[in-house]
Amino acid sequence: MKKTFSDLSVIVAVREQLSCCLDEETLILNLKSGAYYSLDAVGARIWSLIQEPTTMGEIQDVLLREYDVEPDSCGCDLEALLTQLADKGLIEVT
Amino acid sequence: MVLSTSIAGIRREDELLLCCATTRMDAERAKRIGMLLTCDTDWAYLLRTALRHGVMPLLYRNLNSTHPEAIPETFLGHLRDLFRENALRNLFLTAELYRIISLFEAHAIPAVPLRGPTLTAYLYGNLALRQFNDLDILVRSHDVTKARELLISHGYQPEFNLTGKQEKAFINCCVTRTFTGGNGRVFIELHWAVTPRYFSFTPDFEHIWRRIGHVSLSGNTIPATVSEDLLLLLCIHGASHAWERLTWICDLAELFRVHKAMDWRLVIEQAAKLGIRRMLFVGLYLANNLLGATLPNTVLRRIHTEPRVKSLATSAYKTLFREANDRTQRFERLLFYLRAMRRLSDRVRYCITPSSSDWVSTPLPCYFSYVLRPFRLLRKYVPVLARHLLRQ
Repeated sequence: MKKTFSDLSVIVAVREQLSCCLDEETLILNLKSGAYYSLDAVGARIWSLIQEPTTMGEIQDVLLREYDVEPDSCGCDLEALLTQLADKGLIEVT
Repeated sequence: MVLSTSIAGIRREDELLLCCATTRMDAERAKRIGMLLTCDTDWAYLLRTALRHGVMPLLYRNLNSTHPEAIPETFLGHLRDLFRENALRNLFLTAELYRIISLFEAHAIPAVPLRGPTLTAYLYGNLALRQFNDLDILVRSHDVTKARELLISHGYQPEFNLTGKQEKAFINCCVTRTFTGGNGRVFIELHWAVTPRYFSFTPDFEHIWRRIGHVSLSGNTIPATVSEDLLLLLCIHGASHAWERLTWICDLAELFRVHKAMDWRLVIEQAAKLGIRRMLFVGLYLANNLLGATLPNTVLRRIHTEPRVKSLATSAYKTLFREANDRTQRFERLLFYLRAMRRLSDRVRYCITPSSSDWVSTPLPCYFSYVLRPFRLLRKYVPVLARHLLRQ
């Protein structure tokens, strides 16, 4: 199901997962489904931010500060990743 | 200095491993790694030794972060693949640990994971940075039968089968039982005491449970022994294996790094009560001397006044980086362990108390196993001792 996000959406990783950081990758195991997922360096940075409840706006601010990216493109990519994470049952959005 | 002069003369590859056996790389170590990499390196030996010592993830992490340009691309790529495989396996084993702990909880069996995932998360802060192969879980002795039934009903098989009467005797004689599950991919060691039966004093589950702490794993909390108890358990475990794997010494160094408020008075008191003060001091000496772990001066002074600590540490150095055959290692491990015990009574009890492997060969009534144990030890070690003496 397509999730919609706003700057005030609060995102947090669900408890039913385990993850670990490799160099430029984060591996995630969904404890409910047993499926493994992999995030690239930027995805791993986002994943580290949402270990605590964080708003979409706060995540975007961090990414704009740390990466050379346009705000529009950053927003679209972030929303696409969060939608995938939500679809896989790895995050909660309120 | 990272290295002690007492192990000067070890291979460059071994020194590389020592420099890489940390989660906190500093400038001095990084510089030394760079110097070591300027000479010819036996990459196959380095990898084989890192895997044997359980420090392959730290080797990869630290070589890759300090001097990737000095490592052949194929070797670094292979190491990266192994690092990733290990991380995936650790996630799998940790998920299994959750499943088992939840299963026990649902059946009112309090359980504490020992070592493995909780230790890795607590000391290394990342499940990818340590190798572990099995899951050690501590339960009350009167819950062992129930825990065994639950494990079997969830696809695990015990190492050997026992009748009800034999199991009762086994629980009184031994302290662990091994199970295999997950299509042979998961080994669980069920413990019902934290020290072997031959120790004069064996703290029971309640002793650990009264002071239990928790470790956070991806937002979930899981019971874990407090740092002071963990330190003692690591030293007993290391001594029982003659500290033959670098990862066990690295665990101590990381423990002192993450838990700076160690209650040393309590640790030394508990160690004296358990008769393992020498084992504790040998562990501390190795972590300090080999990996530069920081210890308070008062503790260092105590270590230097304890008899045999330095000679035991020297024995550990000799075997740490030697590719000996298994039989010789077992014999040296036995000698090391007996020397590390302070009490004569513990040594005598070690020689007469049946071990799990005694039960595997012949499950007998407990009293009979006590009689046979010294003969089993003689049969096992006399040929090795004879060969050793002949070589001398």
